[in-house]
Amino acid sequence: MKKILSILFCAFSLATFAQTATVKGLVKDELSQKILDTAIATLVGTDFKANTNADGVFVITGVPYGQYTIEIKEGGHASYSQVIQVNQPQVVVGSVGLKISEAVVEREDARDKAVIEDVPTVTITDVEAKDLGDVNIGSAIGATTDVFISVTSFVQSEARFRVRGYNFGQTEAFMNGLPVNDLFTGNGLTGTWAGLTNITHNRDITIGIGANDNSFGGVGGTYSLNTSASAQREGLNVSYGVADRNFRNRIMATYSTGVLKSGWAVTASFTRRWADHGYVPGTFMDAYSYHFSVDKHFAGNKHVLSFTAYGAPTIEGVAVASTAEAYGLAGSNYYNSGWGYQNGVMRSANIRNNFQPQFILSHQWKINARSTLNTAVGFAFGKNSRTGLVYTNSPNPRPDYYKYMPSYLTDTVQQALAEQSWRENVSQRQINWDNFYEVNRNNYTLVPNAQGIPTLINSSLYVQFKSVSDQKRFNVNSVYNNSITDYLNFQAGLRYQLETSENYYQIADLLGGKYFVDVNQYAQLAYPDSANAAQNNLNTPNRLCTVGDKFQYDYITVQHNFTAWAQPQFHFKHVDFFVAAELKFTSFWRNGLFRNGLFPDSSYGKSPMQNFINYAVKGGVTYKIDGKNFLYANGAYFTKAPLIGDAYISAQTREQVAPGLGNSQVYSGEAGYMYKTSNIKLRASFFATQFNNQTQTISFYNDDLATFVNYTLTNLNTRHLGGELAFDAKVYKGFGVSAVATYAQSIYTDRALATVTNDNSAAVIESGQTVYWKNYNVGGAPQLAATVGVSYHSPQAWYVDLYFNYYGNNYASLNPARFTTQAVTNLDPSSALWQQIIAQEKLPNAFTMDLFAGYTWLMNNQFAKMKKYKYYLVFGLNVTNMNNNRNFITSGYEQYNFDFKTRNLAYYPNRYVYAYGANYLFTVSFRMN
Amino acid sequence: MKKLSIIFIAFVLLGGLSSCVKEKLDSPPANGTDPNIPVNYTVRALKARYVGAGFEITQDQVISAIVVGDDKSGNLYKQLAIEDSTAGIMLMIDASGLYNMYPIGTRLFIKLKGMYVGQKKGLLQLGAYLNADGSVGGLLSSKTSSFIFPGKWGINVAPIVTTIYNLNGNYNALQSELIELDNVEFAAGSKNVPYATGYGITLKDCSGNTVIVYTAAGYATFANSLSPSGNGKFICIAGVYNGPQLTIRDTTDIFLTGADCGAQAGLTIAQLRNQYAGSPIVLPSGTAISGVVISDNANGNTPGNTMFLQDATGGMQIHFTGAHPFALNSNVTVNLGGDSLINFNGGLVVSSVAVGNAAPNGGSLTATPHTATVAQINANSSAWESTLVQITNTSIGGGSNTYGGSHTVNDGTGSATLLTLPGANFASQLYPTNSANLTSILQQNSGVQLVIRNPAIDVH
Amino acid sequence: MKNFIIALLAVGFLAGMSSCVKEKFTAPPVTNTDPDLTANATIAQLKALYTTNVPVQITQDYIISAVVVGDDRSGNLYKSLAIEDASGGITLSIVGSDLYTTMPIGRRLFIKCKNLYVVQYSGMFQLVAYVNGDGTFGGIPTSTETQYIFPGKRGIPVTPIVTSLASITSPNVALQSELIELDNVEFSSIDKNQRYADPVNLISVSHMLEDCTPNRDDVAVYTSGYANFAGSRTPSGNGKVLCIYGVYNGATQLTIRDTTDLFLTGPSCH
Repeated sequence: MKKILSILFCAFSLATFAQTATVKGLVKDELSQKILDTAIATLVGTDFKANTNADGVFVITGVPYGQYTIEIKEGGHASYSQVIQVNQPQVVVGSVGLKISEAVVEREDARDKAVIEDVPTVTITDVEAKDLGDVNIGSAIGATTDVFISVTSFVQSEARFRVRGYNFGQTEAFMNGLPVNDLFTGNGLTGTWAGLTNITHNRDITIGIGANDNSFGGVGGTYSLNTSASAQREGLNVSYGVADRNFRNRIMATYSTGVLKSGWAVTASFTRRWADHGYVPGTFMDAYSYHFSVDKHFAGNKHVLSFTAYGAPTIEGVAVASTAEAYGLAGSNYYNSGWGYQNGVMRSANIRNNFQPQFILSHQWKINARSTLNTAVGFAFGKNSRTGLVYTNSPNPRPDYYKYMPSYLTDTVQQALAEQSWRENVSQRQINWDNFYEVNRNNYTLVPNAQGIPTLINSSLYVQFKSVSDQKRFNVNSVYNNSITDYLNFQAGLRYQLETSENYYQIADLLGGKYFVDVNQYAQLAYPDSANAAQNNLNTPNRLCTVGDKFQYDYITVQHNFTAWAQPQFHFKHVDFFVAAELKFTSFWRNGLFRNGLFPDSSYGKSPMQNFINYAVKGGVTYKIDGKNFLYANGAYFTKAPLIGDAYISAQTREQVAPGLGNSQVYSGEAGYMYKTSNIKLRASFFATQFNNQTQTISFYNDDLATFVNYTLTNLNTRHLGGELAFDAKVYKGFGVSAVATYAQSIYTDRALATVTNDNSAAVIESGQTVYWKNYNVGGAPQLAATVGVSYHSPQAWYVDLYFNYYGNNYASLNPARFTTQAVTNLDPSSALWQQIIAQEKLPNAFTMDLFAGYTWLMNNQFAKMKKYKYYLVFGLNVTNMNNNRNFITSGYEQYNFDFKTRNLAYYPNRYVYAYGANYLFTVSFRMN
Repeated sequence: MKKLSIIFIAFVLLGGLSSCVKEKLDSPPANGTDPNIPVNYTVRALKARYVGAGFEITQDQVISAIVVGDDKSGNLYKQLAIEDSTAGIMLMIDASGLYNMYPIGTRLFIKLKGMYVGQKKGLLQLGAYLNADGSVGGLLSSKTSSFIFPGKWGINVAPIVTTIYNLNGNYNALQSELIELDNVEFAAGSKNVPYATGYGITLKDCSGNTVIVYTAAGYATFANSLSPSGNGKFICIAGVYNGPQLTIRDTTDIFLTGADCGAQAGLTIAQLRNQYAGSPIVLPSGTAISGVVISDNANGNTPGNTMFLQDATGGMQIHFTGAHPFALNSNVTVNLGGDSLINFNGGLVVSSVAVGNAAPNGGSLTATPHTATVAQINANSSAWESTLVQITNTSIGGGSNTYGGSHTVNDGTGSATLLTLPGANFASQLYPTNSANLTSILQQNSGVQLVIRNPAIDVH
Repeated sequence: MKNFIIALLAVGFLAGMSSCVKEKFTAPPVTNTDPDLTANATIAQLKALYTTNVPVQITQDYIISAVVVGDDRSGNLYKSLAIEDASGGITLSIVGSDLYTTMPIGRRLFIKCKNLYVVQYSGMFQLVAYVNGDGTFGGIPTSTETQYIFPGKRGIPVTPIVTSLASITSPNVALQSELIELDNVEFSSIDKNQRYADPVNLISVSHMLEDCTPNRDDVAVYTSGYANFAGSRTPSGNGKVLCIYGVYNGATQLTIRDTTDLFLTGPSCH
């Protein structure tokens, strides 16, 4: 960068006259060392001023010799001033690092804290959660200076907006240089640092396929956090927040030393969020998070060694999505069928329990002025689990099961009675824990003992289970960066990832019974002559399980990845361009720990390895018309290996992979225009991305078959196409206006092929079944989102931001089973039933308003004694959905169950998740630094 | 530069917007798709391999055949009649409700390897195993997906048009195929009886060839319905039970509505009248006449259940069992089979005809009246009975001065009675006192009686 | 000031840390009591309402107290329970599965009968919730069950009515839906060692049970294809049989609750 500065310096120096001088400098963010291209430098008391250009350089020409005070301002930063002597033709102020202004810090803090951890956590159902596992995507991406990113992540996260309609697995996530995407699902592991908003300011987010200095990046871009101790603001910050969201209370404490003279830097942070009762009835939360980081700078910052440990042990009772009928009868869109009273105490059936502590050791090595080598090694382990209810030979415990709904009844008298009962008898809408105990206590089953003699034992019919994923990850990532010449810099990296994931069911609570018998009762009926078919594990037949025992299935997946990439970037006066290439080798396999009675030969032990070689290339060009106007265009082509979570048609029971399992291809292009001045920023762009030949496996519990049904979809092709607009302007003094809009379309571009199996049958039910959903929308998130914000930032350290949001084109996600010839067999295409079966529901459009406000009180002015440090009290208030729109469906989905016999769509209507009504978070923080 | 920027923004926005044009939504293909299974065998070849003993198919042979008979009505049970272009066979599946998955018109691709062909009483069957008696056991429903792959549905299979004579000679070739027999009817004793009667009921053609139609009691939904008495088209599955035997898929395949072999369709009214020989007769089934309704029960001068029908040869009075809906000048065919032709007060009447036996032929016609003097009318009262007659320049007199009641018509050549029912809605109108042209129905009711429909059209 | 702040923080944090989120549950108490209801009618009285061969709606505030003698645990009874009191038995029809979990054999049920219907299905008395226009009827739906059925004590001993096979070859209305015991009986020779029913195709099957008299009186034992023992085979010995007495279209039809109702271990008597 200095080189560029000097070039410009030379260019302009030719134009200077005697007795006048040129004043120039480079402006950066002090902490992140990122260039600030919208700063303005003014010689106080004169008309001499200049904006920084795209390289962060300002140049003021024709300055008469003399002494001046130069002041440098940037919207998000505290101003900087310095006295300079202009007594020679070129005066270089040097590299000015601006500190982020307190007001902005507080505002970003407040927004972070207000929103990040606060997207309603609603579980879709135990079994359907997987395909909506990325519901928190919006919140996972945090603040940056790009108004598009900040609005989509803060404000639009309430609508579960997904940038470009991608799932979060398309974004590469990094923590302190370590890749942190889960190889099983592809998603970024943002939950592992949930709640640590005090130390996750330093984000580097890119959307799309532009160049990135630290990795090749995904088609969605990259998301990097720097939580190292050196990157944290020095001082102590303690806060308390009260809210009516999924938590009621929050305490946070963070202390950072800053970089000490000895070269050490230490930061420690702790957060707890909790609620006995969350916004939605029956939910609760108890979430801790910790973060500890220590850095040591060696040899004059030539080496920085950094150790980071963090984790977020979280227990959360989550809500369950329900149907329009149930919401209507319960009289609330926040009806939650996932809880009930046990012995008079609220108890949730759906509890998430996550804790995957991560340890990272990273090394930054400034090899010389032009090159660096950054290496991170990380290890993580721990479990994520979700509880649910297993019911064997007993009625479905879910209160909103379709057979329990009034709409299921045909007799009008009984229907009216049932409706009345649903409305008035609250326990009818809840889980009946007491009944489970009574049933289990009284249930006795004959089970063969060790000698094969049938013995009567007290076995539970209802069991609360935990679906556990126990993972271990080891990652090494190394990135080399060299500014070879002023025109060319070069990045390259190597990465190795190893992940094992053991997945199993575990007994969480026997609910009054003594044992649970681990057999597959339905296989027993289907195969009356087979003694083995019913055994979930032939190695331990008819096992009597107690709390903590694994049952039903248990398998491990192992994956290795090796990645190498390289990227030269060229910078010229008006044109920047880059090319990049990545090569990746992936290998994974399954290791079954149970020998399933239906698949004795393909369930136990290590499966054949699945190996994939992938490459990706991309390139882009930016045309810098002048310092304010930019045009850019990027293109990329990826091949991607399938995810383990999608590769096996029923990983729970056997090692069989999807037919023709292979790589998917991604074609992506984007182009845009940017306009930047210190007061106005504008970006308009469009993008087009085609995903071809993807593989996806959906598993869901089929109530009628009483087993898991697995749909493996291949030839899954989607296209994401649209435009984005971001605008941010400082209008007058502290007033600002921003606008962000996305209009996009995500559709299936081809017919998928389904392979259907169910876990209580050895047969493949359908192979190569065509799913006719070409040109249907990929549902689950709004495709139209627009936000207009107005803000006022007072010089008296208070601010108010108001946002007006509009969401549209949100479609229910589809059940592939409904788009097959089987679903419409013997129907006439013009019949109403045919049309209803293949209709995709468009959810209602919605409007919301959000408020952010804050005030920072510097206490030193009031308390004369305070001298050594600055003391602040900071107040923050966020009200989301101020207009209390309680009919705002953020996502809806077709249930995967479909009754092929009756084709009665009322049995399995769409389920919906509603955004919270008006809700708030108020925080008080004390800061000292 | 600014211009360039604006153009570029416009381009970007247009690009973004135009790309989101709605494309036509996908839909599963109407009538489904066929599985990608190559067919290398025919039903005829399969049948040809049966020579006296059941056998297992051990080769990788695949047939594609269309369901022509399913179990929806219950008359076929746990079996489907399937045929390809070469022949038909009975597919045995040990499950009920097969029509849900394999309804009539569904093309099935059947992987024959491991299946068996056998026969029962001459009917060839394709199924899962051989029973001791040589018949074939059905595929378990859990196994069907290994052998049977349904493809398109809604395929319309045209029945093979044949005759009872030909069927009796070729029933083995035609078995399990959909056939159509024309101009057939149930034989005497098999008409108007439950389909499931005894060991079957007899179908015959007009030449006297017969074949058994068997319906199992207790299974077919129509087992207790009565067989029709008419003649016509009969579509069914050709079956075998020690000889040819027909299986009805459902009663909607039966179109025996015409006049039976001995019957008299297309009779003229004169021919009908000629059949009366002094005593009431029951008209044979199929007897029907067509003509123009010349009575107008809308104006109430003809009772609601009475119709006068006229064709080129004459007229007929018909008494229905209830009020009929046919307006003046309707073109109507009335099926009179089973009804009685009687002499009623000197006039011929077909009595007690069900209203449903009259059907409009569409459109309206006008009957041509006999223009005559009263003397000529009196002279031709038998020939012109129940037709329209027109008298010119006649006087009307006697009785009250309104239409209601009995009056005398006299044109100078003779006189006749003009009778208007008190219920006629023009009964209280004054009739013209000067001479008039009068059109009326000539009714024989203990003498000649003239009946006008209404004065507006009949009295000028 | 500094001390004040530190104290404040300390207090705040202690408060934050110590407030706990309750996630511990005590098991509900074991109970085995009857609801606070008193029977004021008998099953015989209900059956007596059925006089004209058409469904009869119960308009009186009748409460009966009956004990479950046959449940759906094995799946052989489906969507129904056989209940009896001292006056007789009746089939309680409920639209739900796995009824045995809350209404097992030996549990006393108090039933508020008002608005329910007494009907006959193929000659069998049933208590149902509604009658359709076409004359078919439907059991008590799960969603309205709590308004009619009030389960009471469990573990009430059920004593079968001992009778002879010869005496039930022709239908005996009085025994309907009651638990009976037959002694010295066995399956007829062709029904021995046969599958009770067809669990794969879910087809129900009847087997003949006969006595030791020379004329071999016999009655049908009916097993549903949904019964979980449908794929098991009938025993070939002679002995005692417990079953629910029923009729179907004018003939006796017995239903075993599970294979444990059969004690056919003795030598065949023929």
